[in-house]
Amino acid sequence: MTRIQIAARRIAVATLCAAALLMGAPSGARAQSSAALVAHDAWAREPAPSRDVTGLFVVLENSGASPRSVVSASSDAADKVELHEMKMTNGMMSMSPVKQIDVPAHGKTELKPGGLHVMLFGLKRRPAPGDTIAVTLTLDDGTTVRVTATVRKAEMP
Amino acid sequence: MTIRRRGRLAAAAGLLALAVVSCARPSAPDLPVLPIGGEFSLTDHDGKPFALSSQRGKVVLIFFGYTFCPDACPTTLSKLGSVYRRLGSDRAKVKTLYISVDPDRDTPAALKADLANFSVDALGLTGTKAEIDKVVGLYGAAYEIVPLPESAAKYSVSHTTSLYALDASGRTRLRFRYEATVDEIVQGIKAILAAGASST
Repeated sequence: MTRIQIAARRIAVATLCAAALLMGAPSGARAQSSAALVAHDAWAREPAPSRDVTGLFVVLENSGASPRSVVSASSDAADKVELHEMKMTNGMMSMSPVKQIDVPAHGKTELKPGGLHVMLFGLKRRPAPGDTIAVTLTLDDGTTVRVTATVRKAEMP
Repeated sequence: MTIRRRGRLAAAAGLLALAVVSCARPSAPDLPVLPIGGEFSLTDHDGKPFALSSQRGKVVLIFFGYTFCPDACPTTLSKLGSVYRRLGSDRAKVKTLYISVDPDRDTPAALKADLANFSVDALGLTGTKAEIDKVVGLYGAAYEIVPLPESAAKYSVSHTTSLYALDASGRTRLRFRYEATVDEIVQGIKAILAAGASST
């Protein structure tokens, strides 16, 4: 076998492995995707003991050539799911719902503390650190992205 | 202006500078007493009356927030957890006061339950709107109730996120921005403790 043949075989194997990973990715895997939008590193904060509310954070990556937007979210784990944003204006921190979360073409949008996040209201069960919460994000093109977030302790290092 | 007058002025300015430096030296020149703060009374998270004067002898950290807040308040409490760990044996000299700006939702029990999630020696404080407004005014903080009719939150409370550090006599010595790092806060607390130790 020539060197080129070996290289070609290696590439083919790698491609097959990647394809298998993409196609067979279980819902709990690190990356979850619709056609072009991939969600990864999703986590939610352990809710305050007196509240059935929590925030969920995730990185959304768009490999497509068109910008995409998350227009709504839902979850079996909560009565209502909303898209929210924290903003610091003149030293005042405020929280307000947003109509959509934009993800640029060939770009990414990070939902993180102090910025955009998914808010879950009316949690049906109190999740403990290590538990997972599944949320479905609906995009402007009608497709959906399933996000599985791992619950982290309220106090973070 | 004559040269002599200029000389006199320069000498006066020099003397003044010396006086300022020598006066400031014992009480740490980089830790002025800020013109904000003062005594207040609220209700603590056990439902008992609380007076700031009960904390004399401790460095007191104060911030305003509300338990419905999904983000800024847990972030500040997490940061303070790291601050307490870093303080080591000095942690016993530091008390945190978490003052609610949402008394309708934040009962003493709710505040207590939420603080249990954090390893911070903190008291949650609440009160009537008038009592809370008085404290907010004293510290130059601010908050605003924002109705959110279309959200399940119903309303949110926009609020300032500064952290105030008081010395053992209850005087405000430092105000940290929300972005202040654990290092900055730890150093600030140590400076206040050191200034207190050198002035006694």
